[in-house]
Formats: sequence, C-alpha cells, structure tokens
Amino acid sequence: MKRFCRDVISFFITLALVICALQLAFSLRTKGKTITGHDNLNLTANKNADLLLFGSSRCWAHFDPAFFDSAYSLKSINIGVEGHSDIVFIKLRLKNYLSKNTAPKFAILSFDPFFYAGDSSDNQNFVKKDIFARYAFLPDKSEVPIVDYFKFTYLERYMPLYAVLKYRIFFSGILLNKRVAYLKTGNGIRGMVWDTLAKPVNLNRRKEFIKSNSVDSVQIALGGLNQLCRDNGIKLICVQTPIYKAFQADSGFQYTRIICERLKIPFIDVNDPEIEADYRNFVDAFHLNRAGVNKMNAILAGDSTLKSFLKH
Amino acid sequence: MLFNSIGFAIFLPIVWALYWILNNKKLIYQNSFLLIASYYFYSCWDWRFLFLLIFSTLLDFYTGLKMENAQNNRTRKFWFWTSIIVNLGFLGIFKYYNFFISNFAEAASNLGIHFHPIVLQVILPVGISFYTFHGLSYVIDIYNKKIHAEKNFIDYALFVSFFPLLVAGPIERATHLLPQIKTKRVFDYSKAIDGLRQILWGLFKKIVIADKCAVFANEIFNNSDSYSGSTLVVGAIFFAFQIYGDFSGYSDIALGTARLFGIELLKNFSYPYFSRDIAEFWRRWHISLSTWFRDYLYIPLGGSRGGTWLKIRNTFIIFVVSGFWHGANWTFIVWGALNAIFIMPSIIFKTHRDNITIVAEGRILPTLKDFFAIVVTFSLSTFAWIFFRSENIHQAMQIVMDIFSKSLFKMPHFSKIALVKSTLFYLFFFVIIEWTQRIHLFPLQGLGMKWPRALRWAFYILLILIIYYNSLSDDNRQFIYFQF
Repeated sequence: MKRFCRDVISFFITLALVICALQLAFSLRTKGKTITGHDNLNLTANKNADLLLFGSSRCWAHFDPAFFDSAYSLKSINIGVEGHSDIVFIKLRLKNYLSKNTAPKFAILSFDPFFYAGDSSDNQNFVKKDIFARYAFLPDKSEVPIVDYFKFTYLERYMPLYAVLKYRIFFSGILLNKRVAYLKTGNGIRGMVWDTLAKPVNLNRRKEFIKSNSVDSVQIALGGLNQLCRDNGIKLICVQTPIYKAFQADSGFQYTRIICERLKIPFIDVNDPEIEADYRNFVDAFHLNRAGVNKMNAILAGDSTLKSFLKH
Repeated sequence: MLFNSIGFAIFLPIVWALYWILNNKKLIYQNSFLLIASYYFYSCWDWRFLFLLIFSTLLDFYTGLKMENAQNNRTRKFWFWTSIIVNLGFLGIFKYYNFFISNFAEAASNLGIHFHPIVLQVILPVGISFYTFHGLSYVIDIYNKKIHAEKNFIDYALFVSFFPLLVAGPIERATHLLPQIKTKRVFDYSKAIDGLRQILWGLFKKIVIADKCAVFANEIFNNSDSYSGSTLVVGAIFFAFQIYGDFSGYSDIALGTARLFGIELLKNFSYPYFSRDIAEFWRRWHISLSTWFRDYLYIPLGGSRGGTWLKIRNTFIIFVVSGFWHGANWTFIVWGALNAIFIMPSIIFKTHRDNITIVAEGRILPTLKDFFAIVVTFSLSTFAWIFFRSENIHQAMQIVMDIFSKSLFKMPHFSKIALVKSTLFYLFFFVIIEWTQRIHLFPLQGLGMKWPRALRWAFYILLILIIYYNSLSDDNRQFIYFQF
C-alpha cells in the first residue's frame, strides 16, 4: 500500500511538474508577443502615443495609425477590439492601456450605432474570449478586470494549462503561426473585396443598433468613458466610420450624433455616399477594405473638425 | 456522476482511501462502506431511482431466500416467477411500455380502430437493464440450483450495486462476483497499478477516440440527407469507432476501478474489430451480455442441441432479443436480426468456432486471408451499426440506399478538415497500439512494461495530456450505453 501511494504520488508530482513546465513554456514563448494579433494587451504596453485609436472592430479594421502619423504628425496606436461594441469593455481596454502607458493627448473613438452600454457585473459578450484566454492563468493585476469581464473560471485562472488547452491556443502560442498583420501595420485592415454571395447583407443586424429606449444607457456609458478620458487629460472625439449603404436609413445613425451633441463630444460622420454605396470598398457590410480605408482617410485628412481638434 | 467527470475524479480517490485505510479491518466494514459509496454514486444521477434499485435488490434477495427454503417445487416456482415478472415488469414499464403501446395503436389504426395511447412521461432509470440482469441471473441460478441464496443482504446488495458496474455493466454473475465480495480483499500492488493503467486506457478510448469520432458520426447521421454515399460510409466507420471507444472505454474504466478495490470484474471486450468472422466478433464484443444471453436464453431454448434448424431459430431469438435489450426501437431489433443473418453461414456450415485463437498470434502482421477476413467482418458489423445509430428504419434504409448509389464514388466531404486530420491521426495511433497489444487484457498491460520507468511514465504523461487536451472541448458526451 505504501509503495503504491508513494508511486502514485510521485507520478502525479511529475505530471504536475510537466504541466507547470508546459504552462511556463507557453508563457515565456508568448511574453511580449501576440498569438493572433488580436491579443495585444502586452504589445501595447510601453507604447506611448499622442493619439489613441480605440473602439470595436471598426476601429481595428478602419483606423490606420500610419495615416494619422503622416497626416497629423501624431504618433498613433490602435487598440480596437473585434466583436466588442460594448462601452464597458472599451473602457476596460482603455484603462488597461493607460495602466501601462502615459496618457495620450488625443483619443479617437470609432463610435457607431452598434454601440451599447454593456454590463460590467454580468457580461454576456464572449466574442474573442479564446483570444484573451492567454491572460486567464494567474493574471497580472492590470489584466484582472478583463479576465473578470470574460468570466474565466477558477480552474481557468489557477490550473496550469487549463485555459490555453480549453481555448485551443497552446499550439498556436508555441508555434506563433497564426498572427495577422497587426505587428506590421498596427491594425486589422484587409485587402480583400467583399464576397457578397458568401456574406450577403443581413438587415436583421439592424436590431442590434441603438434604439430610442437604449439611447440613455449608451449616453450614460459614453459619458463615463468621456469622464475617464478627461480625468487622464485626454481629448476625446467620436468618429462614425462607413458601413454599407443598406443600413444607413436606420435611426441609429442619428442617435450617435445626438448622444455626442448631448455630451458635448466632437463628432464626425465619415459615411460618405461614394464609399458606402460601392461594395468594392468593403470586406463585408460593416468593415472597409484597404480601398475603402484610403477613401475614408482622404476625407479625414481634409476634415476641418478633425484638423482643429488635433491641433497640437 | 460520469466516469469522465471532475466529480468522479474526486469521488474515486476519497472512496479508495477510506476503503483501504479506514475499512481494512473487517470484511463487513469493506462491504458496508462500498455499498454506501455505490448508493451515493447512483443517487448522483437521480436519487429517486435509488428506491427502485433498493426495491429490486430486496425483491431478489427475498425471493432467493424463499426459493432456497421452499419445501416444494411449486413454491419455488411461485417465488421464481414473482421475481422474474416483477423485474421484467419494471423493465417493461420504464423501457418498453411506450414502444409497445404506440406500435399497438399504430397496428390498430391500420385495422380502422383509432385510439390515443397513454404515453408515459418518465425517464429511463439509469442502469436498469444492467442491474435487472444482475438480479435475474442470481434468481435463475438459485432456481436452477447452481448457487445457494445469499444470506447476507449487504453482500448481495453490493453484488447488484457495486458502483463501477452499476450503470453500464459488465453484467456480472453471482458465481463470479459474490465469492469475491464474501472474501476480505487484501491490497495488491500490481493489481491496483494495473487498475490505474486500465482506467487510463479507458479514458483515452472514451475522450480521445469516441468523443472525436462522435463529432463526425453525429454530424453525418443527423444530416444524412445531405451527404454522399462515400461520406455516409465514413460516418458509419466513425460511429463504429465511437461506440467501441465509448463502451469498451467505459468497461475499461469500470474494470480498472474495481481492481483498485481488489475486485476482478468480467472481461467485456477483447479487441472485437480484429475478429475474422461475426461469431468471433460476438465472442469479443460486450462479452458479459453475449454470455448472459447464451446461458440464460440460448441454452434453455435448447442451444445447439436438436439440429441445425433449432440452432438457427435459437440464434435468431437471442440476437433479436439482444437488439431489443438495447432499446425500444425497431432499429435495434433490425440490428440484432442483421447480426443473426451475418452469423448464419458459420452456424449452418459449423465454422462458428473456427476462429477462437488470437488473430496472427506471434506475428506482427496478419496473413492476407486473415486481413481480408478482418476487413469483411468489420464491414459487416459497421453495416449493422447503421441501423443501430439511425433514428428510425426509414433513415437507416435511406442511408443504405444512398451508400449503394453512384455517390459512393464521390470524394467524402467534411467541413472540419483539421479535426478530421487529428481524429484520423488518433485513430491510427489507437489501432496500431490495440493491434500490437492484442494478446493482453488491455493494451497498457503490455505496452511499456519492458521500458525504463522514466520512459513509461513519459508515455503515460503524454496520454494524460492528450486526454486532458481533448477533454476540454465542448463536444464531451455521455456514455452511449447509459441509455440502455
């Protein structure tokens, strides 16, 4: 019996050591690196910037830091997150950035009708949770709010390898073979043209737009975000970037402007007829491709509101 | 509480430690403690059905004693049939009532008599088919005076309810298990280590092989209309490995767990997919059920005495009943009948005992003849699995027709290519290991035994990591045989 217990305990200690070693190998391999390009909490540490670009996937896919660097001579960084139009999360991402950098002078929020207030205590938006699973095990203090937001479980936080295996990021973390172009371009702008057969227009998505009964909650949440910017000496401007014309008729597009006016946040709508009417400017109904971004940038380069806002 | 759950991973070491450390003094402590643990294990599914289990146990225990003490044959018969009728009555109500009543209503409707059958809205108590068969074998053995009635209720209750075999077998016999229960178990290092190895291999079969194959088998069978004949064939092969990995994996965990407590359960699987004919397949697949039907149905019906036609009739009966035992659906009955048809040539030509040794024993590769025989047997059993897996006869027939169409020659289509690749990789690894270790009770009993300990442990750790990795997917499933 003693021999059995000794052997079994020795085996499980060896197993635990192997598991810890693999977790350590994963952590060391991915330290300061990105696995997919979307997990950039570490990459954007110690990257002080004059202009912060933040928001949802439209920020990620539409704002090219290189453009703002050249057009406005402002060192820029993009911290947009795919799949997260909830202001609670956007605020968490901003706080995370600010905890690792000095506050920028300016911030551009890609604000559009998809935005909603979110719920910090009971989040139900788990898009890209797998991407953030790399931060779940023994999270740094600065990462804890985001780990909490995604409701990572006790096992995922304290059991080595559990989160990275569960969310299938171990091998891509070790091999680093799934990184998108973020490292080179600092954003997620894509060159492809919208395949309208594969991704047809789905007008049901309008249900997700800001409605009259959600205007107040969005306003309160955006007000909180604005206050955070003010507290850190950041000047905030909201930019509504183009989406495909079929969605433009919705009243949600008016609410974004109204909310910004109420909060006295400068607002620019870049939904230009030339961009929004042509599918060749998009990768899907809600995201521009490189051609669309170039056209949008041409408008932003000459926009008087933005010019005066970004004056040094 | 599933064998592949965190709950069981906590339950097992606690019960094991308490069993050996606290209850090592007397047999009664060992058995009482195991019985309490087994009832707790069962109540984790649904505590209400614990009363049914206890009632069934009490009934068989009491009728066993009554038969033993009966003064005349008539009284013995009375108690025997009481037990049989009540046991089969419970099984009939919970498992078969809805099947019979709905089929009866349909038949009546065809004759112009219409009525709305009263359908029971009850769930099937987990393990009822297994513990009922435990009890039946005990009662029949006493009636046939093969064994004496057990006088200690705790020992008898543990025989019926021992938690590793309670919910999905193996179907034990009183002649095999009761003597072990009535003997104080002494800790045996090699038996316990062997038990752990068997549990490890069982978990690998269930979590890595069965659950990965299930992703494709379920997708293809649930949408069989949309797939070509070639993809349906691959789906059936995936299901063949799914059900083997699932059920034999469960049996390995059950046998391994029992060994940790010093108890040897009946072998349930013996590399059935390396069989060279269907008769051999059935000597290697769900052995405890096959032998149960042989001993308690086939032989009482006359067995192989009385000529070929009687043998054919009896074989048909046990296969159809065996199919029906699996579930109240025509698909299971046809599955049983198909297997009976497949085995018939060997019964008629008396070749059914030609292959009783291990295939290609002492050789690395089988002969071409053996290989061909294995492929044919696997194909036949896989063909029968189509009926076992289908929702109804119509779907099964549609799948068969689609398979035997031009679309059989199209390239199989899968949406999850990466998952197909990893599943095929694991299947290849699995088949190679099972083939090379087929002389052993389970592969890890042989594999690595001559390696240095460090290498053997490294291999076990690799297996655990593979299991761990695959256990975290959302595709985890219950064991298929729990529904029976």
